[in-house]
Amino acid sequence: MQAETTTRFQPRRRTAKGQARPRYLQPDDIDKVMLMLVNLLSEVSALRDRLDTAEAVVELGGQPTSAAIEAYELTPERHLARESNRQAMLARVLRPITEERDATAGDEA
Amino acid sequence: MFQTPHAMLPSMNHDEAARADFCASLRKKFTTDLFPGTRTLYSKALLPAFEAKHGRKPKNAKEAAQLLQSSFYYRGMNAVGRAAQELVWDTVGESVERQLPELVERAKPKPGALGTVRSNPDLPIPRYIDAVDIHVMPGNFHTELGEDDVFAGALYDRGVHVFAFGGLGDQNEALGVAMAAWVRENYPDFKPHRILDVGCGPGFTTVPWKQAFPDAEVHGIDVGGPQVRYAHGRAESLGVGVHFSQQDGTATDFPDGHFDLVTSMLVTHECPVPVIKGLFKEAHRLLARGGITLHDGGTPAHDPFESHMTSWFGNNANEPFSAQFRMLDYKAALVEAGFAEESYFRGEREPVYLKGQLPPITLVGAVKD
Repeated sequence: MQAETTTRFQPRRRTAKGQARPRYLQPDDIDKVMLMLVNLLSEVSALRDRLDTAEAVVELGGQPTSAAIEAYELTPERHLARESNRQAMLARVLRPITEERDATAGDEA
Repeated sequence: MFQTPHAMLPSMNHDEAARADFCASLRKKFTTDLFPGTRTLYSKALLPAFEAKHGRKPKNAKEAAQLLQSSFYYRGMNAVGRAAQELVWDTVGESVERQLPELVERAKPKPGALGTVRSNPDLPIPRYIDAVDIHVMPGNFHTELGEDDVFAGALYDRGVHVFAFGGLGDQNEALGVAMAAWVRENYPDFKPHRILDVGCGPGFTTVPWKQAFPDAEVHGIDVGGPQVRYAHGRAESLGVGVHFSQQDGTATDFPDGHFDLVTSMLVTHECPVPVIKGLFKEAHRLLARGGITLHDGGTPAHDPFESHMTSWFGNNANEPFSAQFRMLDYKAALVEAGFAEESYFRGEREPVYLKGQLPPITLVGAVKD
């Protein structure tokens, strides 16, 4: 969405003149990109858990400081809730892979 | 869920634990959904299309593999499985490495210990171990990062728990417990004086033998120094007395007839056939009359597709010897090692956390006359 502006300036150019952008990746590189994607997902998941811990600390009446986050003891209930969140996240992220199978499993789903 | 803490288990800070939990969830997704989903896709779509085109089923594992490779589901599933395999060790390894100096100190033998540990820095590491990092675990089971190192032991103890998403139990004990229960059930009068667990790793397959047979003297050996040193510290902190030593299971320094039970778990499928035969031969030498040897054995798959499916770890996780392991004639190998043909037996145990995903694991063994 472009904000409505009444301005006498042209919008700035978003690409640079000169040499075309070099081609970096080669077809065989895609496997490594996939590995990086999964590694990144681990970081996203850890970030989400850290936020969940901060929420838990606050719910217990504390301040979400680094020390309080480190000291927090995960309860079995919260562990299970996180696990089901992670499975839901994996299902969403991996959908392009699983859709081929899920299309064949219609009568079982 | 949570691994039982003991003195040797590396702790994890908040984010290390969160990443490990992610790895466990990813492994669970792969093992219980993506991998078995291949069967659904194959039977409902890929196979019918192949049959419509060729008027027959794939005739061998290679043809089944080619058919699977035509599917993005299969290719993507494999990439995710491989990513998980690499990520587990990297995630756990970072946490273990951070605490290594403390872990090394904690593992050292203390006065009043229940068991013992012997390292052997001069032990030649066999090429089949040195050349391949099994499970894509960098450094494998034996690499020494420094004096009195325990890194690889801690990595495997923590890593297996994450890898099996807790499915081997809070102390990774389920395999040992299942194997000991199998012996108790099938040999109710068996009262071993000495038990040897070959390729003991961090000792989670060894400790259950001592718990099942408290009166027995239990030994665990491994070519990896970091394994036996870690295993010693771990067993002591669990209050179980076991004798660990760094040795090659094909040529130990124990006297003839020293043991009543010589066993291994999750070892034979990582060994080339000549090594498996060597383990059997040494077991025969080490056993007293009436003693039992018991190991994981392989069973060839009967169907090209299943044959390919059971090769997943061989193809994707550095288990180069597992295919030959499945094809070996175990009866002949045990007879060749000196056991009487009629003493050969086969059994089965549940594949623990892979129950429903894989057929039961075959056990093979023999009794020395």
